[in-house]
Amino acid sequence: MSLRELYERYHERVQFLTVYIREAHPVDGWWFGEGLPGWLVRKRMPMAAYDVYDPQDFEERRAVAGECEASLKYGIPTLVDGMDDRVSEAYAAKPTRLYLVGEDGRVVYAGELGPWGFKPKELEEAIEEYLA
Amino acid sequence: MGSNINFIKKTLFYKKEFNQWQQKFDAFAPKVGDQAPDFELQYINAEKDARLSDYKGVKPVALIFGSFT
Repeated sequence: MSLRELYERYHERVQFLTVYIREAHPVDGWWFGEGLPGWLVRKRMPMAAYDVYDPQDFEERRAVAGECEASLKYGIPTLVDGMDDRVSEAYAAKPTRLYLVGEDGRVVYAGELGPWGFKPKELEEAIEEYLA
Repeated sequence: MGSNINFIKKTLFYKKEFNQWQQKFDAFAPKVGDQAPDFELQYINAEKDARLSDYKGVKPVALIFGSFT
């Protein structure tokens, strides 16, 4: 179950919001783009970018978020976290994480910490259960 | 070989920093049943903002956090 499939299946009954947060593996940080490890990661995650530097201001961050949205083609509108990373911190969302928030504003599903806890299938199950 | 060793060194350094960040903020992250922290952020086209609370009483919201790398 991919995010695109989830969006296509549920977007009329669920509001999907992608929040673009600070780069997890930029060239000037914990980069996965070199050597054998880089080759292995590219094989596993061909959709990710391996030539992105950590944006230094909000306009740079917005530009990279736009490239990300265009490349991944999830069809989900993308919001951009501020340079203070306030929303990412509030949800402990780095490098990636999924939540479902009910109509009453309370958390229905809180995915485990990424990257290993990023499980769209679990989000789907939570959506199904919530909408039932 | 040199680049692999360099990668391992960097991984050890950043993984420690990364784990500390996750532990620090996960302690305060919302759990099932908690009120989700509200936020207001800009869309990438900057034409409008979105607030999480805009959808309260309207629709459930799936939040997907991530980056390009």
